[in-house]
Amino acid sequence: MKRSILPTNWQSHFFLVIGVAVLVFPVYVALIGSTWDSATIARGELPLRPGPNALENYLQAWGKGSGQRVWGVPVAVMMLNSLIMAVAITFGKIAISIISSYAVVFFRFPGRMFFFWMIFVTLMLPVEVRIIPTYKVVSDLGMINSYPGLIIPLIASATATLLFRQFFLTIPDELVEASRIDGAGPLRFFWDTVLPLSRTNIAALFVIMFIYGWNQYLWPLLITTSKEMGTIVIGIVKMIGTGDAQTDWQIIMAATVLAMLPPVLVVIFMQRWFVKGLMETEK
Amino acid sequence: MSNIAVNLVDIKKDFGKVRVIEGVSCVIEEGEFIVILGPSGCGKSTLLRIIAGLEMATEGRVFIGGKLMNQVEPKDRNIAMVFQNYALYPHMTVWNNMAYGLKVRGMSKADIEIRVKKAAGILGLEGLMNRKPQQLSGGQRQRVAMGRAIVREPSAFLFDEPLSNLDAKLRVQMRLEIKKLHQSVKTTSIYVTHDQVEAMTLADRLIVMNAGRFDQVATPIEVYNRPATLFVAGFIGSPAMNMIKMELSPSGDAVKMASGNGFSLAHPVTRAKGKEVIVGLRPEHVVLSQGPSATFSLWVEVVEILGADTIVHGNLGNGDTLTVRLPGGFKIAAGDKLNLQAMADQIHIFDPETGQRLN
Repeated sequence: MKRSILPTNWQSHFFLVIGVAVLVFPVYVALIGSTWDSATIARGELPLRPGPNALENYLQAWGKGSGQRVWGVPVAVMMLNSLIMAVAITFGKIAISIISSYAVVFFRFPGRMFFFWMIFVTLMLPVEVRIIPTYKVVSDLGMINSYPGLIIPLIASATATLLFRQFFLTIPDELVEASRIDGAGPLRFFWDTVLPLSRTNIAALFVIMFIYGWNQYLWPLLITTSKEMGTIVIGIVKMIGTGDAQTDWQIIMAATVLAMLPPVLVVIFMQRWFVKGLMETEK
Repeated sequence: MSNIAVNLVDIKKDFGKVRVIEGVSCVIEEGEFIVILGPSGCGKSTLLRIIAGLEMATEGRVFIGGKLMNQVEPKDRNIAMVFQNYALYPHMTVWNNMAYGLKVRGMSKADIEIRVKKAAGILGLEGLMNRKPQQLSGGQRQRVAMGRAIVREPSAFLFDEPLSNLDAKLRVQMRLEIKKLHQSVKTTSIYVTHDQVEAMTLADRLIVMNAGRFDQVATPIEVYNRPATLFVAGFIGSPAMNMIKMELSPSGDAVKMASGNGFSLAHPVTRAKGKEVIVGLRPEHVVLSQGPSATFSLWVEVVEILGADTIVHGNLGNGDTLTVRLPGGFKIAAGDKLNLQAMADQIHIFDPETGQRLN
């Protein structure tokens, strides 16, 4: 169904173009910066058109890396680290929160509301507040510099649990009862009915959570000390020289552009998915 | 003797401190079509859910097919239920909606196919099997919901106001289809509704429920001809029965109004002689008086012309109002005076305190 559309006019386009330009320009500069050699950038004369060094810059970033602090760790490794972390966090968050909300919504057990409120209350505590105790726990468990250490503390998600809860509350009681009469037990009902009905929500959460995981900064910074375990976001920061050494801006720009690709791909790919889901339920 | 399909023994149900079902019992025979009729909140849906096993009775016992079912899960009661909002699985095709219950029970694919095809044939759903519920009209969804019940071949169908979400025309059509369906599959059916027309047309036997009690359990025509209580009398029939306060003569064979008008009864009443009673007169049982000896006069206030019938609302001059159903085409206008008499064998007499029928 199409929304009713106001007549298109030049004013609306004008403001749209300005808005887009403001957002896109830095990205464009990064893209251009990644195609010139370091001398051009160092002179402060970066032109606004593509340069001749794109291929070698990207090859160096992807294969070798740059910067003293992370020397020898190519972007490919850092991106793989980021990918593993982001995907694991995404799946972990969705799996844990969908199961928790299923329990809270569809079952009556002692302390149900207590647990619900406990989950709810954690919304008020951002990661930064509990980061030191979390670090202590993870370090005592010997998970520093490991994927589990990067992933597990970020998996619990009150936001996703609440979102699934709100969705589950819209599933009519009659559907649950029809399932009971059809002979489906709680697990069967979950697999056959709740999960397929939640796919739009899962797709939306996948996008949000993947980007959340990909962009993690503070936690990976604390928990990874070896440069081989670093994620791309950390890596880019560490590529910037501390002052003594020259900073290879063209390599950093190339790494930045590469780092943008996975979230962009996830958005493009998943968008088709959940728009389809939205259209199916709209009728 | 036919077998007993469902037997309810003294069912009571409390929600918190509120008792919604006050101890009802009923024996339903195999193949019977039972309609439970009552206003919203009378406990009729709750009773159906107790039979289905979706609610637990606070007291009392539920037998299905001779077995005590109080502690048995809904899936093991061998019943199928059709819900008011259909409760189809939105993400499954029509085929899968109907096959799901059989799949869960581990029936073989070949058997499922035979049953689903048969049900689809009965309900005329063959062309729609690959559609999703969103792509169906209300009537088609209703049919799928019934198909889901039929494929199970249960010992009883439970219908919870299945037609209330449909528009008036479709409701009439689906009502007919349910009736035909029952005539062809002959499965015991328990049907909950607040619509008296559905109840009258579908039921082999009718249970009229009021405030958690069974007011009357009888065939539809008996409920219409001899309503057991004031509530039943007022609930069944459209336009509703006229209720007039009158005094029973000491001999019990006549009633009269405060104004002095009255009429004699075909069968004398033995109880409440000389006391005040409520006299029920159906609008269709009041006729134009033939001779000069009019039983009472009606001053016409409103005339509703329905084509086949003419409904006349008026007052009796003493504050009592009366509605009369006259033949279509009858010429009358507001302000006219009509001379009427009641059909002597169609008069209902009730106790004003207990609401129970007296004659």
